[in-house]
Amino acid sequence: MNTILLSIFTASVFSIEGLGQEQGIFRTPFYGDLNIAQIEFSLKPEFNILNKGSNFRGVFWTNPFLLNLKIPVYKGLVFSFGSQERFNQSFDIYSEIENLKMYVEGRGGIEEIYFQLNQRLKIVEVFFRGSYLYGSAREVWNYTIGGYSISDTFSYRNSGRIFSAGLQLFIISCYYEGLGRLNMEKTQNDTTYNLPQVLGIGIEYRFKEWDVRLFYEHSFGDDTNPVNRFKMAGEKNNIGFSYAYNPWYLNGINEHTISFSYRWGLKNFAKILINPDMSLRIKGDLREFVFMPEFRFVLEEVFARRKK
Amino acid sequence: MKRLWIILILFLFACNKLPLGEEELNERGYFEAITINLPLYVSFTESKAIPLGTSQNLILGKDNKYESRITLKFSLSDTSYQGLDQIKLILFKNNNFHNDTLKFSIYVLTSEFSETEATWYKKDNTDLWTHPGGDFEIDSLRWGEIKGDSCVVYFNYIDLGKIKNGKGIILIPEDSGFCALYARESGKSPRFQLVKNGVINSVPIQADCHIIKIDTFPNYWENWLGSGVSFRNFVKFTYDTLLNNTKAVYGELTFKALKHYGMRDSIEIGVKYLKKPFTGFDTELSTQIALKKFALGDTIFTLDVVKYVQRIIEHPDSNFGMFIYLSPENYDIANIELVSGSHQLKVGYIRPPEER
Repeated sequence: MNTILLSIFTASVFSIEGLGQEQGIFRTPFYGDLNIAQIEFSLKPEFNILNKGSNFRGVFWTNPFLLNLKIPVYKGLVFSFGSQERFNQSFDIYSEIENLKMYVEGRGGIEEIYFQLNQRLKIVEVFFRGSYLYGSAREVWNYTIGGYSISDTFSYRNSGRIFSAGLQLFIISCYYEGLGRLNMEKTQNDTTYNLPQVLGIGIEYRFKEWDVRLFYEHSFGDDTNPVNRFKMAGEKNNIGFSYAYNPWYLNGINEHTISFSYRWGLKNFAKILINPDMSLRIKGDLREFVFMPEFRFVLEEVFARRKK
Repeated sequence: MKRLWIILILFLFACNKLPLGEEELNERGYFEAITINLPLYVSFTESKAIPLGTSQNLILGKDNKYESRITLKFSLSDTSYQGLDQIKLILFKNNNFHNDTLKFSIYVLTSEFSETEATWYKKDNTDLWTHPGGDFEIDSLRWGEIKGDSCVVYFNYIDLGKIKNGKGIILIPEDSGFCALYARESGKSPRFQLVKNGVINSVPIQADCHIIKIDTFPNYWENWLGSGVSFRNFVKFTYDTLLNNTKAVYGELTFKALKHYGMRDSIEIGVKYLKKPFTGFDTELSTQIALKKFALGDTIFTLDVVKYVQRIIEHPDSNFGMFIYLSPENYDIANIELVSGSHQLKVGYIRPPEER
């Protein structure tokens, strides 16, 4: 039973490093239509298979429900807020180094609550977002030598903030995320991190019946490796696909993601989006296959009072 | 086909414990198990005749090494007892011990005793018995014999009067051999009963304890463990600076036995470390850091004292040593002579991980 419980709450093995797995990449802050109020619930379970040579190890974990709310407050002005996991620090690793056996499990991460304003100024849409970062994580390191076992516990309490802003003009958008600072209270001391800055450019173009999107992000910072990542996506009617290349800010980890999406509209009331993502993370000989069937339920208009 | 899918899914998502990705741990440190033996610095024995009033047992008996007597006091009221059919003392035997058939005499005590502080030599915390082993009247009241599960001794009115006017009673063994009786701490205490017209009135017990003498205490430089009369083995190992900034996974304390003596087949050995520099038997100690059950006839004993090792790693200037003892020290009569110089402390440690 314990084994099952352990496996339910386990994520990427690479989350052991740095701040963990970055979850906030390729987020599109532009809404396009600023007249619709909506509330969005999303769930993103993750099936994860670790592979090296002919050995496999499967794990599964899931985020809790995430909430995003978008409220038009005035003509062309939208206020939105919501939550998401920003860095995931959950993992579990078994190890056998000669007669030392170790089992290490991490839980938790860094959460983000954001507040965002989008404003349309004629042909330009601008946005500004401020986020509060919080959350805690706990690691238990179990060591066994011979018949003897002991364990160590590390606790982390996180708090910080990060800001972003950008504009969209016709088909081109650009955005910047920066001024991010995170204070991590640890068992032995506290550390303040400067979070990586992100400079992003996007192109959204309608070609015949296809909506085509291209994104490029350059991430850089004092404490992290500079990385360049890109994503391209196409959508026709209710069906879409995308490919993303994401080298992590941590050494030597590359991630390729293929995603499909299907949008199911419920008249002018709501829509359901199903986005099955498949990723491959590679670090040396170690591979991590990930399947993330994301479910999003978006309620539109039902709670908003429109101003004509 | 369905079965194949189920097997495939189970295979892929099996909750196995393969060490896949273990090299990721290197991002947080370099891990290997390292073992060292700490050299023995000193070992010797501290002895003390400890009070046994809180023991769960009352030990009665004697041989050429030990003698143990039982003192009892019942709350007899001042009222005169008349028309009694029976006046009896009932003792219950603890059959977890190797008990001998044993004859004993009962005497009336002439000095008060403190249950929690009395020993063979002292009747309370400050005062000595006039005669070591208890102050009692010259003539015995009665005698009894312990065999079977319990022992009943009957008294008459004259005896009852003497007991009522005395300071308690003392049971003194007449034969060689030992017997363990339940004390009131065990819930099956000695009972003093007055029977009248078929109605039994139990007189509440006020105090019970046993007091033990030993013919000779072990020499200071020898290594002994003992209960009844407590022998604590002090042992100290030299700290190795290799342990600085490491995480001890185990501290395997091993020592060998030369000979043993006891009333049971098994014993429990405990370890406490000294919180302050050694000053004697009563040096301030930690809580119990190790406890393990062994067969009395075992010749090699091994306990994990990792808490002690972790303490001296964290505070190398607090390496004050440990006491090894039989637990509980007041439970019965037992001793083990250890082989001098046989103590070993093997420490398995790792270098601890770095935080994120």
